[in-house]
Amino acid sequence: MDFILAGLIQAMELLVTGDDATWSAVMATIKVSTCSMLMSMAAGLPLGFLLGYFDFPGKRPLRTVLDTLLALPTVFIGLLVYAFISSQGPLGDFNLLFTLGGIAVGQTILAFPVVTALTAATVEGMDPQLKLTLVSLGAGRRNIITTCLWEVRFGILAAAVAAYGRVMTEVGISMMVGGNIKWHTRTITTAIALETGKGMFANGIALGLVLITIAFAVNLSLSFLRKQ
Amino acid sequence: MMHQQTQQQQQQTPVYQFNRVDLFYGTHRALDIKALDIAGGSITGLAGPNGSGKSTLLKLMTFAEQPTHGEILFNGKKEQPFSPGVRFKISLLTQRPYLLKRTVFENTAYGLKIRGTNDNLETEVAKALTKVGLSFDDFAQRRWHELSGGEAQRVALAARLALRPQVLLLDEPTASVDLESAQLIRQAALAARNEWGTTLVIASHDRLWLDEICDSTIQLFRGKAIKPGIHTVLQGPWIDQEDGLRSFPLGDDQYFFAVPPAAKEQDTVGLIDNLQISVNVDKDGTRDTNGNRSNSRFINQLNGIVTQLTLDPKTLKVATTVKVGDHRFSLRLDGTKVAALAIHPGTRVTINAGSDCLTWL
Repeated sequence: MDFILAGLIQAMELLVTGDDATWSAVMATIKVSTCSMLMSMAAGLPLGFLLGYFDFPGKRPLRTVLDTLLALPTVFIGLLVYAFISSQGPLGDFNLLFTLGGIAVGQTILAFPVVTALTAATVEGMDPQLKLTLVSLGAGRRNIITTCLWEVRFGILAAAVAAYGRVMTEVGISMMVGGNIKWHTRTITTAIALETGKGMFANGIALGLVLITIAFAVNLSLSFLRKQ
Repeated sequence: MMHQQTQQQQQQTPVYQFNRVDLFYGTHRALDIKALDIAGGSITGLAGPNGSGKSTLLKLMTFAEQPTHGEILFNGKKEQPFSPGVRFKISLLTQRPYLLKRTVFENTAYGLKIRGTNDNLETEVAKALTKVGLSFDDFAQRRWHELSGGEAQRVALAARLALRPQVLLLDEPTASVDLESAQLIRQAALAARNEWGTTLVIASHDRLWLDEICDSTIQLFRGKAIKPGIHTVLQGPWIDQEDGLRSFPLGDDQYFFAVPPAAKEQDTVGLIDNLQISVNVDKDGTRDTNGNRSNSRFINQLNGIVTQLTLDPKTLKVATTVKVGDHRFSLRLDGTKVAALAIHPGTRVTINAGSDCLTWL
């Protein structure tokens, strides 16, 4: 029990004194997860809206596939991305293996079904009177889409937060595609795994605290926006 | 003078023309309108029980949906959803209004902003709110969740009135609001017709209100427009009798006997026009549930109790409801007849209706 307490105290010291290795992993995590979130939302939001808003043949099977992808194991995504971006893979020329860009590609694949499925569920849950009301007030197709998105903005924000939590806390993709290279592709989660393996609990706890703090800050922002 | 001329022109040209229109949801035919014209500047009522197709018809009039078959002409032209010919010209107020998650001002100004009316926005919004009895200063900055049901319905109506639509469609606008809000909504809708010549189409269960203000009323049942008038609906199953008639159990050991239609389905619906029903006061209190079978034309004689008497101020007829068993029969009686028979709620009466007076659907 003492070593956990001691690790906690050391962790606070590392964070306060600005330990370079610790903050390098923190910055790499923020960069790569933000990048993957932007890419997954750019693709997932419109697709989720279309899936939730329109009825078309094959919609149900598509939703089932999407819901299944929510449970996609990160190591499997890591394996697929590794196979594609390694020098022998079809995307090998882009030299993405063991880079933050490579991790971002994998995390985008991880976050995309979360953003899409939750956006579709939010849009499906919209009050059916909304569209009729907007048509009654003279809204055109573009007005209807933008207004509907604005009306369900909190649901979409919640989807984004859920996806952000998933990409920030994954280990498999970062480890396999990024390679856990110090100062370069080491993220918070891969660093925790490594430091724990080495018995360096202080570093692991410090990074864990940062992860929890980021998650708390994101949820606090969402709560603030809801009140507004 | 100019306004009167415009109104006369509007009334000459039907604003809506339905031609063999039907709408299917899957295999269920929700609406089947052979022909329907609605004159510009008129007030048209839509009456009928729940599920009769009133809301569906209003949605088609909004051009929010398209019919499965047939065509709907608006101002003499075949229009499509979102076409310039219908946008901002037709507005529907539903029974349960949806307010955007914004302030009252933003809700009321939504349509105006989309139309590009950005000048004097505050003035226009204030005018619209005043029409529905809401003060701009008190309500403009309130958020959607800070309103009562009646206030929300009035804000929704204000948002539509702000557009000064050519057609205002009201789907049971006063069904779930308090009396004061209902009165304000009625006044505002009528003012739109009187000031701007707006065509009103109103779906409501308040038959007296419809009779009072409407130029004509369309009675809907199971998606079809039926013969105008006040009807009592007897919805099957009917029981075939040995003598060729079929009977409908009304409850309290009373039956309505009818000459069956050509089609033999037992769940058919029979409509009895109120003009086909006569009434007598049941002076001795005796009951004759068998009717008068001595005539070749069978007359149903049913014992009931008067439950409601209401004056229709437009026709000066007395809307009378008689409860027979578990069913209610609707009649329209002359005031003199009501006075002569000394009918009041609670009076026991006998109503008479021929077995061949039904219209079958």
